[in-house]
Amino acid sequence: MGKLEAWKNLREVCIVGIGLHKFGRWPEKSAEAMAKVAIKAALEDAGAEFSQIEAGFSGRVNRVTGTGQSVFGQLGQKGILIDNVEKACASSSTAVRIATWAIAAGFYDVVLCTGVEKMQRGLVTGPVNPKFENYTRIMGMYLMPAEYALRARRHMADYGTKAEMFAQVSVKNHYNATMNPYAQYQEAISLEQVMNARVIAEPITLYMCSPTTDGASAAVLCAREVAHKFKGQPITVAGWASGTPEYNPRSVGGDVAEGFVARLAREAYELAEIGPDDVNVVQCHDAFSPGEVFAIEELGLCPMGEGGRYVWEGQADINGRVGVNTDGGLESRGHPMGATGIAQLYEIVQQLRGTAGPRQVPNNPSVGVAHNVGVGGANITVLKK
Amino acid sequence: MSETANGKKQVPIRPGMFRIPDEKGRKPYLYGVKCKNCGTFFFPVREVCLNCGAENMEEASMGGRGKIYTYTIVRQQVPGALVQVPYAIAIVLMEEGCQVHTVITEGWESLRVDMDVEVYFEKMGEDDQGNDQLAYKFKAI
Repeated sequence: MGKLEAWKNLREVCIVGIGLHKFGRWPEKSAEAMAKVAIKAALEDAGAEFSQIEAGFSGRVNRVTGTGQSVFGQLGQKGILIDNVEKACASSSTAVRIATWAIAAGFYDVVLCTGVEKMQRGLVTGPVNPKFENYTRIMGMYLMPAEYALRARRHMADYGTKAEMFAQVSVKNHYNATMNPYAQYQEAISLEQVMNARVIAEPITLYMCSPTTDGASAAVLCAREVAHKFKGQPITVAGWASGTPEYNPRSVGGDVAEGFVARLAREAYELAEIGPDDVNVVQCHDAFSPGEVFAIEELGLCPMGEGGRYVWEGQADINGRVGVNTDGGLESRGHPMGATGIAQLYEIVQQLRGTAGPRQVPNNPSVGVAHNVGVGGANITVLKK
Repeated sequence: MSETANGKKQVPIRPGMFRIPDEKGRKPYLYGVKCKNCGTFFFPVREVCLNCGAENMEEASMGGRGKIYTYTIVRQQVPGALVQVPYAIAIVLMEEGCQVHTVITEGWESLRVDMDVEVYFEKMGEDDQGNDQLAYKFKAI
């Protein structure tokens, strides 16, 4: 049948409630305690009771087994389906996509999704091909920011992008986070501070890296036809796409492989019946600053190679052409891996509802896009008012 | 595997990437596989062609030369690494058409994209039998 035709024949799905536990360092709090706060906030936003939830999907990366059962179990035990979903840093956007499928197909009317993570300070050591793991590690090649730095260097050579343009991503996102009470870091930093910070892998400095974070997020999704039962303003999941990079020997590969996000964006826009010019607000995966530049280009906000200048000229500012990472992004809102996907959707929901407060993008935005990457794959989600 | 003057052997630090010939005067060399169906070259060796899906690979030695596709200077020490900062991580686009991910510890200050580089082999440590463990690195030609 094909994805597009299938999608058109299914029910419309919307987010009717969404909530967060403040991102930061919470050594004294359990993952369950944080998730409970986020779930209660999402239920309250929706005006829903836990007893109305028919299925639950839980995103987490570290110690994933049993998380959904213990997180949802705090609020009741009614025998509902509970699945744990893991896709590294894209776990909870994956949970939302699976919930969307389940509701669109008609299996359930109301589904709860969560994302939660507790992390340590310091470098994140993600999975690598176990066959080569030891070699990569002892040779000093096992360094996540280096992946982004490698594509960044090629970008600089191909398009004349400057290190300052990548740094400006961090400046902008830290500024945006000063207006986000849920953000881990709510302090502005200057271009000089970013450029002069300790170098991790050139051109990436410490302040161009997302931190490790504790936090939780939750969303209530439902079929559009039952949304009237809830008080939360429904925001439609209008399109989605997910995939992995295709073989390409002239690409850095992995999370920053060239071209595959552009392919996924086209797929998601087709389902949502929009083009890149219709997008009003974007939350993208700035795990490291250059990631935002790559995403801006591949989501079609500007031609390939122009992403650095797009940010530098302020076009990605809250009052620019398309507000990008208006909540501070992974870099400043924080990046509790399992919780990040729904946190991006949280911000888009606020922007489309017009409830983003001082960080509200102007002109009554109606279309938002989330771009969430997890170990060599990406989820694109299009939300519409 | 080749014998050194003091009777110790030289061994690859990880199998499946390069060979150290026994014959005197012959240098170590990288090797990969070439798809007999579509001709695509891969390093390190793999069984199924990522380009055409065929399972019809033949082993082939590599010339050891290529161009820097991209690089980054690393200044954050990686836990467990035998290489000390600063150094470069680079992706080399080999004459055979495949990529090789490598570290560059010699001449990392003057790297640039598209620079011509070639492989060399360096002792990184010793195994339990006291043999020298070699790894591959690249430097400017």
